[in-house]
Amino acid sequence: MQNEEEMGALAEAGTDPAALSVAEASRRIARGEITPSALLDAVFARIDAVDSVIHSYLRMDRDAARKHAAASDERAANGTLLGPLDGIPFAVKDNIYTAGLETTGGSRVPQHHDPDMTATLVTRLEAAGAILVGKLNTWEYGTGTGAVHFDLDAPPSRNPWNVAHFTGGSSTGSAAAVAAGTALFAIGTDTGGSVRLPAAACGLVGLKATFGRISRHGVMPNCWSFDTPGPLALSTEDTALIYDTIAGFDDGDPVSLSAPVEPTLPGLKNGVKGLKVGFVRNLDPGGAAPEPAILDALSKSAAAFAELGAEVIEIDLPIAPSEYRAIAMPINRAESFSIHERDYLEHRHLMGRSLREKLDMGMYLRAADYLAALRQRRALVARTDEIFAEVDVLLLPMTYRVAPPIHDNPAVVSYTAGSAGSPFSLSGHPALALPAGFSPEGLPLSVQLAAGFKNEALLMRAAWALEQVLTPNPMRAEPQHILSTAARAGE
Amino acid sequence: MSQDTTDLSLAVQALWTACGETAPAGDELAAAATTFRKALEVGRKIPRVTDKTFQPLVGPRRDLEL
Repeated sequence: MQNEEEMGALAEAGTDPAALSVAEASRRIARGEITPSALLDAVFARIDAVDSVIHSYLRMDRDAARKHAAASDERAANGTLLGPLDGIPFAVKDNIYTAGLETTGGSRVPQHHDPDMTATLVTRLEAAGAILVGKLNTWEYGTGTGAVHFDLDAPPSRNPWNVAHFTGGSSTGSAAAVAAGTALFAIGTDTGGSVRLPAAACGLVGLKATFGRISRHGVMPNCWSFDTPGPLALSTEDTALIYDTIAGFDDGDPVSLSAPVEPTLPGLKNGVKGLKVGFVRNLDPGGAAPEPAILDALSKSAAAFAELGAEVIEIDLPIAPSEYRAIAMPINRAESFSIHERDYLEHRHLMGRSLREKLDMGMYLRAADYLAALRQRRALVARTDEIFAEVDVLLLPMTYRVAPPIHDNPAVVSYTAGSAGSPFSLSGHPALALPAGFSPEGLPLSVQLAAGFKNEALLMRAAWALEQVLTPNPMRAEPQHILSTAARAGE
Repeated sequence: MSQDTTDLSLAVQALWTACGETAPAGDELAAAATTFRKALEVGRKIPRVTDKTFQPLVGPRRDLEL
């Protein structure tokens, strides 16, 4: 078969197509060095090799993907590619609706959404020629208490860098897939850090855009005040390609922003000279500090920004993380309960413990308390936004530790609860997790960057500049590595 | 069982019944009463705004359209 010959030649050259970034795969497709079908076959080969270990997928439709890849092959041959995502295999978290491919939210609870609905962001990606491979593992309904109880039908996703470790959540399968190359990129959803946290745990770029920038039409809601879908990708360039494709006004989402989107790709490599970077070394002065490897990554990042010509000033956030969490938690729980009330009342026996325990509190929160939290939210948004009058970009921790062992539930809960996703989920500012190398035990390190409202272009520019210093050659976990960690862990 | 827990258990039962559902019983009822107490504590910790014109941030973010 021609595809096998192509894959064999690339393997001889030391390049498994499934290991490529989106940008590099796209360039090779455009140059005729690989066909979309061969790229898809390489992704299927990765799935066959490692998905029984990392559990990134809940379901897929290989025939449909092959059909779309064949159409991309033709466009590539004719010189009529639709753009840089044409022929690129991707997958979406299983709380994103896709006609023809069931959406369960990772739950046993029967779902009643329109089976013909496809999320706007999927429609936009497919219109750009990207090839949907399947639906990715997730915490049930994309939410929970942060604990992993191993009580859902699908086993939880595992971290490809060490399968005995947690992927972060709730976009568990999205991070596992991109880190392992079972998809070249993925779309997750971020309510309190659920794109950025798994991206950090698995060594990826994870973007939470400005609230309202990426349509939630066709996305199972979790908390409509905070929900923001977003890409998980190998590099900032990949993230820019994806963001520029899916961002923009959508009449189907009542909170969609109508303000024009500034594309992130054109200025991505313009550098950071003259930018003012606020360095938040520790979100919680006087409290727990990030572990040494993460502190080192943060210091190295600050030094790199200064070396590249940015002005770096150390600052503290004006608001303690506990203040954000105290306001975000009742909003999140009340809205989740409102969304899933009938499921909770009628089918909670089918739910996993983590979702059920999260929804429990929603049953008993007072409406006045929920609305008081939403009034406080307005004040916190304004106070958070004041930071961006002082600096262009914030550099701060995403997590305080590396991904813990998945069977250590207290550590898993602490890892999630102690992450720094909540401030920008509550405020709506754009923020991303950026890989920062590996810890001595071989687990990914990450830092977080944030910027002013609708300033994704600036955020991505800063991220790209820092990436060239921290991880100029981002990698996916090789199948041999994944399987060897599984063997060591006895998985 | 304390008076507080008993009162909250009764409130839990009333709430479920008012929803047209069967109220939890036994250990599940006790756990629900504990959750109810925690939910009330969470609510009490939310600062109140004295300015009555200061509205909750709900729906589309017009502040982001500017």
